[in-house]
Amino acid sequence: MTSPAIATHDLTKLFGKFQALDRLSLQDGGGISGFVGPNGAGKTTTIHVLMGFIKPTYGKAAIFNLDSWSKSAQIRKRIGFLPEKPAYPGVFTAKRFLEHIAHFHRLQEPRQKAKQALKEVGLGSASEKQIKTYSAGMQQRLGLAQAIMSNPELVILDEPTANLDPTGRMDLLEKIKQLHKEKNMKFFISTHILSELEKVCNWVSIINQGALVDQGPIQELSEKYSENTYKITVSNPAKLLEALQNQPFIEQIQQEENSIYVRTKNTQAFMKSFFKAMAKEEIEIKEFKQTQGALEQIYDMSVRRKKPPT
Amino acid sequence: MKDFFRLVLWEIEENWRFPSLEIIAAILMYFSLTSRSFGIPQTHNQVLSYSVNVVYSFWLLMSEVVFIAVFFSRSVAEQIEKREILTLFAHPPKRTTVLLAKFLTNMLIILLVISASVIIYGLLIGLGPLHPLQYITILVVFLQLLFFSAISLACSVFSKSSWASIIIPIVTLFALTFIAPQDQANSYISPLGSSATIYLYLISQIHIESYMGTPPSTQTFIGAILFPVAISAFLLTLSFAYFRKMEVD
Repeated sequence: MTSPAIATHDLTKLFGKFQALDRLSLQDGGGISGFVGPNGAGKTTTIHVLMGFIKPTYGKAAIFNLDSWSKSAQIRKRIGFLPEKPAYPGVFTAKRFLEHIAHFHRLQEPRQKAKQALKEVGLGSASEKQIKTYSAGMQQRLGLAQAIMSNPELVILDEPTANLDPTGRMDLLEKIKQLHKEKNMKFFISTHILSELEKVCNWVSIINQGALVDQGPIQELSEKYSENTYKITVSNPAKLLEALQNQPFIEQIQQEENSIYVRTKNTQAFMKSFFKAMAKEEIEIKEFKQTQGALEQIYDMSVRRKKPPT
Repeated sequence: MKDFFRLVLWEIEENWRFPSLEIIAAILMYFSLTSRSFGIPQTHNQVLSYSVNVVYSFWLLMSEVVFIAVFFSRSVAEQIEKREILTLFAHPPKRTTVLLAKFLTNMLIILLVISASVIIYGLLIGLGPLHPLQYITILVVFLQLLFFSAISLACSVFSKSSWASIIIPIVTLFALTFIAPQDQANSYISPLGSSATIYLYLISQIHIESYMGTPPSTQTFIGAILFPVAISAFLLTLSFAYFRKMEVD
């Protein structure tokens, strides 16, 4: 793992009596990091604190070890940002808008850079159109272009795949992977669409109700959350579910088509009851395996439980 | 400085594109040319005609205030309201540079348009382009604009509401005009009274023969200059300090 770019410590934000962030201490993984949580979990508030748009009530937030609130001018020279709902000056053409941005970052040949950035996000042919004529998906791509055009060390993307069609999403994820590989850009991506994140991230931080639920390399979390979780495919899943669901050692159990997913607190007791039920109900086993927790599953378990398993 | 000029360009391209400028110029010309001075006999000469139309015209002042309020509302309050300002806040320019560029661009463009209308009107009634009255009038207009731009900017920054930042400066103009004391010594509180004091004092100093009235005292003149300048400086300081640390979520 490379050194983290983002770090918060006991970060708390109150809006009046509403607590948006609750002693949040997170970091990124130094590569491509995911920041996930349900709607209203505090993802955008965290990002806005990191960007220096809002001041923490307590605690600290830093990027490159620079305080996000007091040193935001220095930070902004080194990062790119795509907001959740991009709002750009509608009367500008995309090319003109990016030219201005290029000037702010003191880039050489701003016109060329603007053209190049638009081409990279697939807007080369629409570069002379006014932004107000752009669809939501095109505005999202433009947002990505303005975030990456200065070749920043870190790019913060808040729900970058919102408004994009499936092809657009795939293209965006490919672009992120490519930029990380070729230009060593770090990414911090906030989203609630986990299947996409899993394809590109090597680190994930999970947040719920303003507090950190868990974080770490995806592989480690996957192992941690799959330790006592099994996928069992049988001839009669409904009967097996009925036999197991009220047992005290079952932590979580659910049926998906012909399979049962079980998370247990006591493997030994579970195995004993499982084989007993199989014999009694004459159920045939087709598959029995320990799951490798997909991000979706990790997220589901961690957010529901709020605390990671010990 | 590079960021400042780039932001000025951004502001002009975003808010002062066709036909804003042309519409404002046309309306101001209309106000200037159709004011009541055309009913005043020529014997009262150019000075009276000019002053009544430009310096004493409540409706001209009203139109200035409306334009200022609308443009500041669009450029500052609406951008905060719709979170468009985050686009600029996410890039290197400092917040104070962003606000300074917005303030100066809007105020100076409106000053430029009104000054052009005033000069054209002066030329139409026979005043030369270098006549001192033209410059005195532009100074008066500048002070009016500075005062109302500062009020509009403060309303936009603090209310973050596009409607409030249009209504408050207009209500302020009415309040200051109709509630302010009418006696000459305290007339500087009213924008029209302040403008008239400065105008009359300066034309009396340059000995324009046609001016017959009693000129205001130097003390009143200083009050008329200091009142809008001091209030503007105070509001601008507050606005910039607040904007620098303002939270936008």
